[in-house]
Amino acid sequence: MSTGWIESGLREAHVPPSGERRERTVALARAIAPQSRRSWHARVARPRILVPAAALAITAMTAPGQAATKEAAHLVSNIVPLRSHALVVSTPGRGGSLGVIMRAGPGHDPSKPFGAGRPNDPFRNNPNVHPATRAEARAATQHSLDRLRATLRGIPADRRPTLRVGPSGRIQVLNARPRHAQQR
Amino acid sequence: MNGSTSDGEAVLTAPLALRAGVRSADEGELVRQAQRGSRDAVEAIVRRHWHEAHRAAFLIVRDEAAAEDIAQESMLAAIREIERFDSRRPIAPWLHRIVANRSIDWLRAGNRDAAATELLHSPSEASVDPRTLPADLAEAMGRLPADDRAIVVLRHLLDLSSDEIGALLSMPAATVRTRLRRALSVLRADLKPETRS
Repeated sequence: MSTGWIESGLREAHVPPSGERRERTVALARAIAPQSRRSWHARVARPRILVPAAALAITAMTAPGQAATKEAAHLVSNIVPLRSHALVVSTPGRGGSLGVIMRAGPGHDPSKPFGAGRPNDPFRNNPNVHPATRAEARAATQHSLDRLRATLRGIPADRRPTLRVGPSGRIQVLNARPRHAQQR
Repeated sequence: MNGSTSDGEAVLTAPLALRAGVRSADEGELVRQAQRGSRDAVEAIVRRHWHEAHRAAFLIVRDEAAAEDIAQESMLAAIREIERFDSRRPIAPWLHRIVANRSIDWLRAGNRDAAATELLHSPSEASVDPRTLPADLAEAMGRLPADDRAIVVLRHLLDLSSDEIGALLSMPAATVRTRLRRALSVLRADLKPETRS
């Protein structure tokens, strides 16, 4: 039995104008639009590598660190140029961000981001690398910090660095000591 | 086919069911942009679906102010939850269910009798202007019980299935189909032959 008559009747029925309410609804909807509230976990769970743009999840620091595993260092070195000592705290492929804490060698100026001025073409040309928001960078850094703390448990308390995420979004070391001082 | 409402809004009058079922690529992209926080995308979604939402609400509740409230609340509820929406799916059926839910809630809140009474016994003072619907259909729809009216709109305007309507109205799908057939028979008998054609 055809029901086209009722469908067309309902479709063609005039309804009272609602343009004013529609415009108010549009304004309200714009006001409550999502503010990129998706967790960074949800984003990095995709098969790609997320590298926070500003800090690139790589924080230069002049603090005691851990030796990177060869595998991790090799993986990271395919994306960003590494100098020497590096600690990979989270690796891609397991839902984590690429979080790398790098320790500069003697003579490194901590005010300059590690790797500044170095060729980054492998990074820039990598279609799987996307910039992230400041909030994501902070979240990734915090995640890296949590992972880093877990790796430091084996270090005696008096030598263990105290870490935090600073206002800049980078990991800060509160009790940093020069490398040569630690080795004494 | 295009038309216009009395306030000059451009209105697409293509079959709603068809539009709901056709998921254009740009709609999925709109949803993804909205999920990423694009206010322009949010606005585009509201504008695109406002008319359908308002029309459906109005035809169910038959109250001008309530229909605007329901359409607005439905849109805002959808935007609040849009981050959880699967952008690979069409958004219209999801919006339709929200509108239908809220319209049913409104009817169940004790407003159904008032709306029906106004329409049947004092049309000149009712919040619904009978002239806003084709006269025969308006009269016939007004004589239907509120639940039956909702069933007709949900099925033939919003393209919800009997199962979905049954879930909304807390009744078996078979009951929905029975009441739908009965409502259509009443409407068909009430309407003039030229309207049915």
